[in-house]
Amino acid sequence: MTRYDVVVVGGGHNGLVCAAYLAKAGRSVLVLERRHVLGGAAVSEELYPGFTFSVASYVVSLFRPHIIRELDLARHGYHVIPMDCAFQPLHDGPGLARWTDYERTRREIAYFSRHDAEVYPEFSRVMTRMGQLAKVAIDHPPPVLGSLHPRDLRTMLRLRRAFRNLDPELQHLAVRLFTMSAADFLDLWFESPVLKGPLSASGIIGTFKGVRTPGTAYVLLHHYMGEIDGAFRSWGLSRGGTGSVSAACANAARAFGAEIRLSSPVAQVLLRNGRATGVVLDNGDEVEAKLVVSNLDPSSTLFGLVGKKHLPAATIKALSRYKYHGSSGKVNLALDSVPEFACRPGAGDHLRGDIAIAPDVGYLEQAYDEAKYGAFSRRPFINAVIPSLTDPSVAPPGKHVLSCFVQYAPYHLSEGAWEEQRDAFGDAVVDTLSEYAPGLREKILFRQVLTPWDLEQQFGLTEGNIFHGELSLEQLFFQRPTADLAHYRTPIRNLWLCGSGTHPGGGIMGASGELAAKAVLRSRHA
Amino acid sequence: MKAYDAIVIGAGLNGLTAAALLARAGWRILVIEQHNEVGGLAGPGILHDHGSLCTKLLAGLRLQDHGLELTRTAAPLHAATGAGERVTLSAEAPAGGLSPDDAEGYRQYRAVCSRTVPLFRKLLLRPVPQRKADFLMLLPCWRSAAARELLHLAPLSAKDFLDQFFVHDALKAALAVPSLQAMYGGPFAPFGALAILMHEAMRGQHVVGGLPALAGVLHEAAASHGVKTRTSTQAEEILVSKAGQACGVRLATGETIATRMVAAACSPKEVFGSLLRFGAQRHMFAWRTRHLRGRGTTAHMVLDAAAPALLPCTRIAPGLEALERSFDRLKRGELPDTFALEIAAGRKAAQLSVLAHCVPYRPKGGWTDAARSELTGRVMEQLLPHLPSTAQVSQLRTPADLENEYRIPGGHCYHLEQAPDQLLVRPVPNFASPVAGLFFCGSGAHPSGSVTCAPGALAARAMAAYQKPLGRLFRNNRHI
Ligand SMILES: Cc1cc2nc3c(=O)[nH]c(=O)nc-3n(C[C@H](O)[C@H](O)[C@H](O)COP(=O)(O)OP(=O)(O)OC[C@H]3O[C@@H](n4cnc5c(N)ncnc54)[C@H](O)[C@@H]3O)c2cc1C
Ligand SMILES: Cc1cc2nc3c(=O)[nH]c(=O)nc-3n(C[C@H](O)[C@H](O)[C@H](O)COP(=O)(O)OP(=O)(O)OC[C@H]3O[C@@H](n4cnc5c(N)ncnc54)[C@H](O)[C@@H]3O)c2cc1C
Repeated sequence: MTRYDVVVVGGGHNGLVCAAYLAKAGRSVLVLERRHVLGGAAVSEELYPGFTFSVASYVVSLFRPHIIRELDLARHGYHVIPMDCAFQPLHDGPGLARWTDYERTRREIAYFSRHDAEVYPEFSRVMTRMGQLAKVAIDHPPPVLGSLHPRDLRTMLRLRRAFRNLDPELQHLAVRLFTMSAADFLDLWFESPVLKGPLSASGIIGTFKGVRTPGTAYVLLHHYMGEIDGAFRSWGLSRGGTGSVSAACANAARAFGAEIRLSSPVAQVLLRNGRATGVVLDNGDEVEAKLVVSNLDPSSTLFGLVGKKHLPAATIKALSRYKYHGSSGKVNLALDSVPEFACRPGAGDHLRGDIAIAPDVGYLEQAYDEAKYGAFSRRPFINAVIPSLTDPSVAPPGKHVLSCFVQYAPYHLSEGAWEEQRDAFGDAVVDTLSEYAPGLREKILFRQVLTPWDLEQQFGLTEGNIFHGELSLEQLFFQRPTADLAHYRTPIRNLWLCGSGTHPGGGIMGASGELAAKAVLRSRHA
Repeated sequence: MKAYDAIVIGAGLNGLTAAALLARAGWRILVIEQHNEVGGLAGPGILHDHGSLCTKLLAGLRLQDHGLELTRTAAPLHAATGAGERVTLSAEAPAGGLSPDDAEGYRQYRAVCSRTVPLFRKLLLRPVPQRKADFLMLLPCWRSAAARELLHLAPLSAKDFLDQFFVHDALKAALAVPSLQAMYGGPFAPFGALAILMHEAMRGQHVVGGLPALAGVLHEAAASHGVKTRTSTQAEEILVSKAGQACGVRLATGETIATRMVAAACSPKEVFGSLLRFGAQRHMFAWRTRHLRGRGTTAHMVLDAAAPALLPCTRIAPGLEALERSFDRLKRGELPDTFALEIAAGRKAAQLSVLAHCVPYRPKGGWTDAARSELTGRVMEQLLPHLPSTAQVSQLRTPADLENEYRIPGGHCYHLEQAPDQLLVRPVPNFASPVAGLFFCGSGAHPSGSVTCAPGALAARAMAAYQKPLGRLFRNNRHI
């Protein structure tokens, strides 16, 4: 039986990036994926003949450019097409479309508020400047709080330098940004509720928080950190669906010599004398390895694959308090023809970007208020894309794919079970969309509804949290997922974490995988 | 020559503190107050919890000589846990009347509180760290285990925080009350834990005779150092010279008084909203301050009723989820059905003073007589099991009334919400404003509201330090 240097449990994009880095450094690596496809939440599947869906995650922006370079992912098939527009249909008026072209955006916003149109470019400039600060944080491992190790001091100095590079007024704003609510933060700038709706919505994606909940403002920065082909761009669509991103990572890993096995669910991490020495598969096969790196979320890894009886009490206590609170669902539709929005008819360019149902801050807050007691929002926030308009390869000619990300759908329902409410939830989404796009229902050829419960079943995401744990301040940076697990290590020797539950957190970034691999390579045992 | 070294606007506890400390150092001070008595919010028996006075900062005033008396320990707090049932929570003694689980939870809760007290005191009872040296001085305390614990706990919501310790819902709700008072958010909102811990950190000895007594003592101490006070006098404008220096105050009567400096103990929102005229405010700063948040959600009531069992202080709250639902309604401008209530002795015998949290600043349709009696009716309903049936509301102050009466735009108890972005990184850094010679010394300044007198004391120090480089040497600066 071969003994690998490293076994990576889980073939999500972070696991694959991690495997690629480790293989590149000359380690023998085996990736074990539970499902028959790679990619985890970044996956493309043909759910209906001829239609390829980005089943879970659907847009790409934060993937770290240096990873693309270092792993040569472009050669392995990584290709992201930037989106030019963010469209917000409304019941009356022409709706609001924001374009990459500032002049065009200015005219659109001026329809609702002249003042907002004036300050919008300044707002974007300020956010982009502050985004650079956040980039420094996500591109490096978090410092150990209070440590005097040169590496940690360097990290602190780097952060300090980035902070000092902002002018004093922005420093002040940056500090406040981290604890403000998205709505309060936008109130500093804008007056039009129509503009604040979709802008604030980007602060709540994937979290179980409302736009007025403190701590949502900094998530807005995620929309100003995006880079595609080295240029600032917010979001883009991966050609062939987000699964292509994972496929590119997998190809890179294989090219460096890593081995990948599908349909190989891991049941347990093998322990000897409190150290990880390999894994056992569901079918009983054992694989031995010097190190085990887990792409699963921290609870699935430590409570599931290791077991509480092998863990120190402090770890159990801290990790039991780690919040998942999945709050998002997904509705994937195959359509007979392009959906048309009443406020802006036709299949124009405004449909090629992301389409948000977030008419104003009050609507979003109402959706949250309904959900926080354990029922899905009757009129939810929806973020939709029609990738087939930009990437015809994902649907037959003339037909389209509509991918809807939906909030809020709380994992814990106060009444009933998700299996019974799945269809009602799907209906609420289609009904909401139909209010803006009449005739949508008649165009639907196929519908897939994923509730948080389904996300847990299908992708192994605990409580259906799309980011492997809530992105709230006490669970980020040097505390992600908890203070003692924050550096990719676990209390079990030779067992490491590389999923989105580690710094810098969720989203298709590859950063957790990369930073974990680098931490592993720095350690004595690698 | 100017008649005064500084004019203090507002004779609340903080204004009086700053005035007394500066006068003691030899400054010629005038305090102006719109009401006909001093004390501000601490005057007419609105306030309940008067155990957070920072005696250390006031040591120089020798308040004992002017008649200040403090109890040895903090007064215990009661929490209603059901119709007629109460538990006693006190910092020193083990809690009475709790189930074993909750008693153990309370012990752990107190342990967390006492571990974080020194940190809060370090951060709050000195100016906001701004210079390198300040940060270096704080370094050792941030390397401590308590700091790590605080960093983890502070962002939690009141619910997540209290769920770690307690089982009984009404008990949790009672302990969550400080977060409802300090912030604009229900018990599910993040940073509730910060407000609770901060509140617990500042609690201590009580003032005998209540806060009006404290205001009287401060006033007397100030007068003994030569402070002049003009009551029933309202400031209308802070005058700023062409060079951008605060140089005087214009009163509502039209009279102007020249001064070298101005210390505003009133709400910063009032200063930026009406006392400073447009043009005196620089662009970026005006932008920062226009959006100071102070959305009040607390109303005050006086009840004609005797209920010794509820004294010295009882909190009645329906449970965390119910409170969150009340907050949802408030957000939408509706009047909730249930509130978080705090009950204490009123100013006269056979009177109770009641604070109701989760009250909208202004309900849809405004505070009409109908809306007011709706509010008192619902509060009475909630109080019914705890009160004699003859009880009656004799006075009601809604947040909008507090706004008018005390000139606190938004009507927030602490002048500004204690949101984390308005605490250490406050929009008004420390006490100085960009208008030279204009300082903040009220609850809107660091370390923010409640009856610590710390904003006043710290602001007095900052003002003295500001004067020094100008070459004016004050006799007793070091005592401030
Ligand atoms: C509905 C949805 C929409 C999203 N939208 C976006 C978006 O638009 N943009 C964006 O940037 N991010 C989005 N995200 C978030 C992003 O997709 C995730 O944060 C990211 O893909 C997580 O990657 P990962 O590699 O850390 O973990 P995962 O992708 O969760 O990978 C974990 C892998 O481990 C496998 N596994 C689980 N258990 C076992 C086992 N016992 N043995 C072996 N293998 C196992 C799983 O099958 C999976 O492949 C979305 C997520 C969801 C769910
Ligand atoms: C309903 C309520 C309950 C509270 N409960 C508690 C409690 O239980 N425990 C606790 O610790 N804290 C409590 N607080 C908070 C506490 O009252 C304040 O933080 C503190 O008393 C404020 O003192 P201050 O001196 O900063 O301001 P204030 O007391 O507000 O003093 C400001 C003074 O300035 C005057 N003024 C304003 N504008 C002008 C002008 N233009 N010209 C002249 N005068 C002016 C006002 O009349 C007022 O007297 C409560 C507050 C409220 C509203």
